[in-house]
Parts: sequence; C-alpha cells; structure tokens
Amino acid sequence: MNLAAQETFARHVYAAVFGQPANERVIGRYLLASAEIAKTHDPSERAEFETALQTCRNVTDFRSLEFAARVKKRLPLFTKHFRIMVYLGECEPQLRSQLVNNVDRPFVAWWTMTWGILRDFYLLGRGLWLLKKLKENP
Amino acid sequence: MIYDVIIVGSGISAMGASLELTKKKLKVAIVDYGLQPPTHLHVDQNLYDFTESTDAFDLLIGQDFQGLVNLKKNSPYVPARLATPGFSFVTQRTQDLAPVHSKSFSAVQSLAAGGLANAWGAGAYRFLDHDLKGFPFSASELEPFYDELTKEIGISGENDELSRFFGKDSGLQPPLQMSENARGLLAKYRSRKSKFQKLGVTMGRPRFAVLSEATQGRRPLQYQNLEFWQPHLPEIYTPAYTLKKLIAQRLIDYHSGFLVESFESKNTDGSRTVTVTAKDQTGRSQTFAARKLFLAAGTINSAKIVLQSSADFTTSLPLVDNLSIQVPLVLPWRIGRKLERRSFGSAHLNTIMVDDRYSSPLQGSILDLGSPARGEFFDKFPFSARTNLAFIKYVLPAMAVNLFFFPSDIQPPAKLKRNRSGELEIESPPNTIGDDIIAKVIKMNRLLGAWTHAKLVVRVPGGGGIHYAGCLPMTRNSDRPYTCSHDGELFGHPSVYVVDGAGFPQLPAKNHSFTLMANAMRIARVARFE
Repeated sequence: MNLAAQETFARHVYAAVFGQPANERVIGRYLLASAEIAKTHDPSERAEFETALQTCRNVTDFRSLEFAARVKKRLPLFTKHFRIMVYLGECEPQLRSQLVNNVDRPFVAWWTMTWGILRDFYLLGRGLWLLKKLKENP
Repeated sequence: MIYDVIIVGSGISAMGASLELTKKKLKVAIVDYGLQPPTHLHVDQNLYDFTESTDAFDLLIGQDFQGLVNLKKNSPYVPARLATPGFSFVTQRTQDLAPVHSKSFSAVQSLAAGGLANAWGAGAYRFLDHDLKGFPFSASELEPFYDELTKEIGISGENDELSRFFGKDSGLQPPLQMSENARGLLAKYRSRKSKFQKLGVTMGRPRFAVLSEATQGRRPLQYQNLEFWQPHLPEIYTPAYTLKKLIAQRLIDYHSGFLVESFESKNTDGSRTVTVTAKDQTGRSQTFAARKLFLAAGTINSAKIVLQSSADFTTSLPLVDNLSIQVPLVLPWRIGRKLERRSFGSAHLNTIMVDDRYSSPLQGSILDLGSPARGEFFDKFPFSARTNLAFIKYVLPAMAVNLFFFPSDIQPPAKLKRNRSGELEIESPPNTIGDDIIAKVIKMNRLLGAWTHAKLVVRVPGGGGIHYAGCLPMTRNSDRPYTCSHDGELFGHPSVYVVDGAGFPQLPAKNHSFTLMANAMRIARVARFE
C-alpha cells in the first residue's frame, strides 16, 4: 500500500472503531505504529490482508469484514489494525467518553449493547459474504 | 578492596539480606546491572483525570510504541503491565543479555535496580508450617524477620478469617479501601458462607506492602489507579526504595552497570575470598572480591551464575513455578454503573481453597480491570468493533478476574540447563491443571453471583506465574552439588550463599516475595563473620 492508500485505510478503521471523522494526531501515530507492526507479519499475510481491503467499499464493509474475519480466525492483521486504533484512541481525551462510563446508566448500557448485538447479526452476515467473495476471487 | 559481603542483584532478596548485613556494620557491596525507570514519565494525579485532560500517549503507549509490543508477531509475550512505557525498564535488555531459550516456559527476568519487584502485585504473605513442607526450617525461624519487615516496609491488611492461612499479624496497618465490585462479592460470600465452607473456600482481605497510613516519610495510598502505569509510587513498597535509602545512608557500595558472570571461591593464607567476575556495559571484565558472596540475582540468573562458575554444560537443574489460571468474572449487578475512578489497581480480595488433592491450599486473588489499557480487551468480546467498545465502556467496570495460583508440586519441575554458547535452555511440561478443579473454581465464582464459564478460563503457560524457585534447593543435609544447607550455603562452594528463590525447594500457592525477603534476612543473620 502506498502512503495515500494507507491514510485512507487508517481513516476507515478510525471511523469503523469510533464512528466519527478521524482525529489527525491519531492518524499520524497510527501510520507509524501500523508500519512497525505490519512488518513483523509474513509477506503472504500482508498480501492477503491487502487483497481483502479491495473488497471493502465503505466503513460498514470494514466493520463487517473485521468482525467476520475475527469470528472465523482469519486475517489476523486486520484485527491488529483495529486494536492499534483502540490503543491510540485511548490516549485522546476527546475519545475517552467512548471507553469510560462516568455516570450510572444501566438502562442505557443494556439498550446500547442489545442494539449492538442485533446490528451485529447483519454485520456478521455481510462480513461472511465478503469473506466468501474473497475466497472465490482471491 | 575486599568487602565483607558482595550481593549480586538488588531485588527483594538482596534488600532483605542488605537490611540485616548493614545492621552488623559490615562492608557490603551490591553488584547489579541496575536499569532505572524513565524519568520523563511522572503523573501524580488520578489516571482518569489525567487521561481526560491530557494527551496520554507518552504514558500509555510511549514514543517507541512500547505499549504495542504484544501486537508484534513472533515477539515473546510480555505481561500487560511490563509492556507499559513506565514499567518496560523492568524487563528491558534481558533478551539480549540473559537470553533463555524455551518453547514452553516463559521466563521473565529483570536487570532493573530493584528487580522484578518493581512491578510486583505487592502481596505480602507469611509462610506457615504447612507452606514450608520440604524446607529445612520451620515458620518460627522466619517469624522475627516477618515482624521486623512488617515495621520496615509497612503492611496493610486485616486479621480476618484468612489469618488461618496467612498468620496473625499484630503490626498491620488498616486494610486498603475495597472497590465496589469487591464489596459486592464479599457481601455475597458472607451471606452464603455455609455453601462456601462445603467447597473448602474462605474469603477475605489481602495483605499488601502498600501503606494505608503515612509511615517513615512515605504517604498512604492515594487511590489514583496508577499502579499499572507509574513505577515507584511511594506508597507501594519496592526494593528500589530500600536500595535508595541504603545508598543515601552510605551503608552499601552500589556498583551498577555490571552483569555478573561467575565467581570463584579460594582459600589463601587461611582466609577465604570469593572473587566475582562481571562484565560492564562495554563488555570489559571486572572483578570484585569479598569474604562472602550472596547470590540474589533472581532464581534463573543465580542458577545460571552457579552453572557458569562450575563450567557445567550438562547438568539440568529443576525449576519450579506456580501454575495459575485466570478466571474472568462479570458481576451483573454492576453492568452500566460508573467506573470507579478512585481505586487501587491490584487485588481486592483473596480466596483460599482447601482441596485434598493438593499438598497445600490454593490461593486466588480477585482483581478489578480498571487499570489496564482498553486496547487489551478489544478482541476479548465476541462482537463487532463498535459493540465491543460499548462492552468495554459498560461491562469492563463490572468485570474482575480471579487469578488462581496452585502449589508448585502439582506437576514435575521444569528443567534448566546451560548450553555450549552459555545461554540457558528450559524445558517445561505444559500447564495440566485439570478440568475438575476448574469446574470447582467456576462453581465457587458462580456462588459469588458472578457470570463466568469454564471455556473462558485461561491456563497460564509455564513461567507465567513469575514465581520461580527450586534450582539450588536448601536441604536438611546439603550433601550433593547444586543444593544449599539450612543456612543457604552452596554445597562445594564455601562462603557462597543462595539467598533468593533458587534456594526454595518448592512453592506454596501464596506469593513468596515477603518470604524471600525474610529468608534472606535469616541467612544474613546466621552467616558467620569471624
């Protein structure tokens, strides 16, 4: 991937994880960190991961593909990129509210998680379809 | 210059010995590699206040992306706390300078000033007679040293039901404040006590080398949740604190930057001298001489020094560790409740399980998960990225982990030997903790009202307990190589004493750090200096 493609990918991952437009400081750090991590993976893993990216057209596809790949224990590099983003996002004061609950709200918590799980059925189905497409047209 | 004693290493055993030797007004030198914590990281406010107001990249990840080290493929796993920028100095350079080759044993070592205890959980437990099976002495020989250390380093806790297993201690500071999660679990335990008794389970408060009251110029715990990120908090005892004090009082000579390789014990003109050979950071050899040598370089490293001094490439020494399991718990009544910002990032409760199948009781520590990085948990929930983030936000504060340790004699020891290139090789059997005991632990945690499942239990691989012992065991009649006498003196090497975990023949399930310190004091007291 060239630098522009990496940056586009970083913005998609950011949106997939945090659901909002990217923070430039996080993106800058992400590009350095992901290059460092990716180089420890085999070339074949990196190639498979980059091919997988071709199948994604939007943020929902990224979210779906990462989820399905994690369930199916495939494309480990994909999940690692998401984890890097969570680690880096955690350093940003503006994103802390996505990770830390500072008020008692059990009802909101149960509702958010239940809705998330219901939505995940759709994401998983879509992700599995993307994985299948990938297998058919590697 | 010939010292009275040279101590190799500066960890918890070295400091126990130093405290006793310096009382005798002896000339003591410590030879140590002595890596120091980073100086640019200093946060003295609540972790959550800090991260909500400041870019926390330096604290959580670090400029060299140290915090992401476990995402690298094929790099050895580093326990989460040791991977943080603040604590990475504890295990830094060990891969280059003291490599260990093993497929099945994760050997964690330290070249830091203060040793591995820079990052310890601070659990301070007395060994009772039932914990000392196989040792050539009884608990009464350690008692005076435990009492002295309790005053010196400050231990908080309570003489509760667990005193049966931890011993009565009159010098304890009040216990630390419990978390909401722990309060809920303890209430459940108290309301169902008869059921727990049937399972052989007792629950109570841990004992910590953490101050709940100001002592000797050190402040009490501030509940800033920084234990995972900030080394050398003054309220938590680490050997580095004693080291600093002894250096400031000029009671020891501290030679840092040296990696000890071997020793030689010689009798010249009727007096015994031990010469220690060490390499400095440029690779140059330097020697130090003393009347006695105390090996306190950490179990694995002390064993290596002894093998190296004997030019032995063939002997396999036993190496024991506490096998452990991690049992994740979800406390349903806490889901969606706010995160407890003022908290202590270590164990809040201990569970002791007596089971006839084991030689001594099993010990569990229940820890909240408020301190580690959230990135650690991203792929631990089985949902999509956004849903997992919601679980991290709402479920993580309602989660705990019961870290359950087993006595070392539940499986044969690992084997440690030195290969021709001078590096260590360790062969270890896999973690074979059975499904039946896991089922019992699950039952116990469910009785506490927690949600958990046997499939979620992690069997920590060999070495992961980071409690090592057994290589040069103390025996009643030390009559063969690689064993020590009751007084810690190494067979065949007069005036060389093993004062760290290498001399412990086995380990009960409880944390042995406090006993390492007390035993090193005991050896230092009985060693004769004519």
